[in-house]
Amino acid sequence: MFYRVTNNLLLLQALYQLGKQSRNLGRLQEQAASGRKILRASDDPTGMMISFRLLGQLNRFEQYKKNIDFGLRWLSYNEAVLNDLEENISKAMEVAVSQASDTANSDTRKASAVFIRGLKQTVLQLANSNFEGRYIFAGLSGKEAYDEAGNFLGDRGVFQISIGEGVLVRINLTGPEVFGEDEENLIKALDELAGFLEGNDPEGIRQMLDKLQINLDRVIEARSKIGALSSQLEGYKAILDDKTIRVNSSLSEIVDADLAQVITELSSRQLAYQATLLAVKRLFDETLISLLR
Amino acid sequence: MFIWALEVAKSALFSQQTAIYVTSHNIANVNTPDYSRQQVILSTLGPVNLPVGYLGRGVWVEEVRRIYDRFLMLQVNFQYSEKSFWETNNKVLSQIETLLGDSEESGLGALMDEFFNAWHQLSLNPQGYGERVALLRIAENLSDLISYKAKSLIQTGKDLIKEIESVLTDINRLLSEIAQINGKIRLGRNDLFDERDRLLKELSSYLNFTVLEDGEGKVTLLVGGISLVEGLEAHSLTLESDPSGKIKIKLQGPGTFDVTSFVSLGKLGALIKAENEIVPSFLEKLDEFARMIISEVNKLHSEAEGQKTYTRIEGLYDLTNPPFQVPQGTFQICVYSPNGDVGIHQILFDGDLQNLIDQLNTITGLYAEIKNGKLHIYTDTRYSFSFARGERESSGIVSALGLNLFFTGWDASTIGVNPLLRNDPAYISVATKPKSPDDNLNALLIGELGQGPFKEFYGSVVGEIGLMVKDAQKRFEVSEGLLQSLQARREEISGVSLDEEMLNLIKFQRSYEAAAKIVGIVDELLETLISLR
Repeated sequence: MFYRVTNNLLLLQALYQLGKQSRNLGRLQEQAASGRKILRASDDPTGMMISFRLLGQLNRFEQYKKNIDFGLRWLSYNEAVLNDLEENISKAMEVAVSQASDTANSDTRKASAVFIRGLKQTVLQLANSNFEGRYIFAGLSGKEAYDEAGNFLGDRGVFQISIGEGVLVRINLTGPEVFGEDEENLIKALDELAGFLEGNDPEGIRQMLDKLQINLDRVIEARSKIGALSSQLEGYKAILDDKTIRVNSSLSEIVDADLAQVITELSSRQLAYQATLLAVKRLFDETLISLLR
Repeated sequence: MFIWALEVAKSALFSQQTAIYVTSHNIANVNTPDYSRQQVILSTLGPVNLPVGYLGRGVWVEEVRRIYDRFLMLQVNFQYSEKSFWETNNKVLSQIETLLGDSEESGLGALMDEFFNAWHQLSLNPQGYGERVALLRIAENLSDLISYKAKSLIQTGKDLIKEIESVLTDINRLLSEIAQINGKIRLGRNDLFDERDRLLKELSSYLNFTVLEDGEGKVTLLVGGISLVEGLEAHSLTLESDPSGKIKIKLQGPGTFDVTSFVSLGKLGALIKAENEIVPSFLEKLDEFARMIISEVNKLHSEAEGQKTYTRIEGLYDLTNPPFQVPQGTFQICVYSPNGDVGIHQILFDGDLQNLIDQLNTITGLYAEIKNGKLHIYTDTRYSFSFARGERESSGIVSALGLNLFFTGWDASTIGVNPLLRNDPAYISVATKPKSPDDNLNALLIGELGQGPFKEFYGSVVGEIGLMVKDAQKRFEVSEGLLQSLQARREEISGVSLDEEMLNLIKFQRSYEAAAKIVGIVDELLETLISLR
């Protein structure tokens, strides 16, 4: 309480109050306009630190999703190649079965040999498949995987992608894993089969049937590996989507302003501000001077 | 007797006139800052002894008194120092906050994420030219932003010194004005007291000091026990910086005294603190952050292979005074001979640089030497070489030697992207194994650094400045509130109330009229007397 109230005292008080109120108003206005609670670190230092971390997580999740999408595209391409491969091996086996029987003769076997040689070229092309410029079965060598003779030119390098924090997943199969080791690989086996067909050798053809079966099993196994990997990646992607939603909602809790609350507060503060202004005006009207007039 | 009454009326006329004069002076100064209202002290003129007894001789103006509370003034001044300290502190911190702080979509935090994501993107297509160029562009943005922040902080420090200089000019002007007033002041010179108190208040906004006032109203000002103003003599403050780059405030009086540590409040106190503590500490943190990124990324980048191998490489660091300590351990150097074979050589660094050079020189086709403190490695024609890690983890030797770097520099002001990579992105090391152009492991490893401590560290720096600003804001609001209430008290005592002055005016006017009436009546009485025949 003041005992002696002077004109400037009133003014001083009013100015102080108005200054404080307009600062508050400014802050609320900023929040309402931007929709954010935290505009600079001092608004909520710990919140700012947390939002910093969460934003980093979100940005990383985005990248992991991109990595997974790449992986899925890569795997589905691999799967298609393996499918073609399986079909071609089955065709070769059908030929081998029919030509190993006694109903076949040297003419049919010669004709089949041409067919098998064509098949071998197709398989060779499949073995040298490239995805966005990369030979998928060549390891990390960056070169073609197989030459005409069926020799493996690549390496057994492991190609990994990163699909989560600290989770690296291998997504490539190298030539030997799909086509077998060099001595008995599929391309050479097809060459050999063609040789037996040309040589009119039913016994040799029968032997090759076993080898082709081994190759078929290997390709089927490889395809199921790829399939399993695809579903693993899909699973990771779903987890990432889930995490993204959760992180987004906690980020929004920290950073976003509750607009309803902000606007309510804004209008009540505005009212207080106007009331103060009105009070000051009234006070200055009521002086002795105006009475003496 | 009548003549006597006339004298009494005259004294009343004069006194009321004086009172009206003082009242109008008060009204005139109602808006003068720090004006202390004045009051006329009237008292009776001593009586004369007359045959009828003692009769009063009227009234006189004993004193025109200045109404003020000295203790309150000292409190206001102290609080004023406190308030302007936090005001300035807040201003400087907010500036640093804006500088270091980030908006969500852009800024250092987002750019760091982009940088590490670009490495991931490169890992998906290790031979991709577009990915390499994109990575370099982002890396340049990142290093530009870091060095921009460091340079702006350094500039802030320089601007602070300019501000301190101008504050010192103001302080020295105030000191000499106060000393001048000391020469003229004497009791009763209310205007000079007001003027001096105004100067003391202004001085308080700049620094904290002690005031001693003698009986005549002369003041002595002390800071840290050493006089700033004594009698007619004003000393001055000057700015000096010591070799470590910290500034010192020297008081030039009869001798030179270092008063830096005594100036703890006011604008000057806040500026000294900002210049000597706050700015250097944030610059240090920024440097530490930049060093972390440079050394972690380079450590992985340097002990791996790009699409191209080197025929000649020059170390970027001066090894007579290396910016990064070269650790002991092993790394590999892969030498490609003309027939396309790769020889992998394990190199052991035991702390002896000459030994390392000797080991390199024993390798066919390879030469190493130190020129101007920098390590050079070069080959015979058609030979080339690359680096690889010696063990599972990078040793950090190659990067500390300044070879095959991604980032150049060693702190926030010097960070940059290796110009070699900018000229030819094929040198970006993505492969951990020689002759494996599709190997992406190194890119993956660098990409994974993104979860590392950098962001957390930078986030904590931003958090810290945020806390400091928040604290300064609170302290400012508290001190402003206290100052406000003290100033209100001062106003309560010394301020002019127009209502009061109007009432006084009426009062003195009526008294004057009454005194005039007496003159009239005495005149009539005399008339009556004189007309008697």
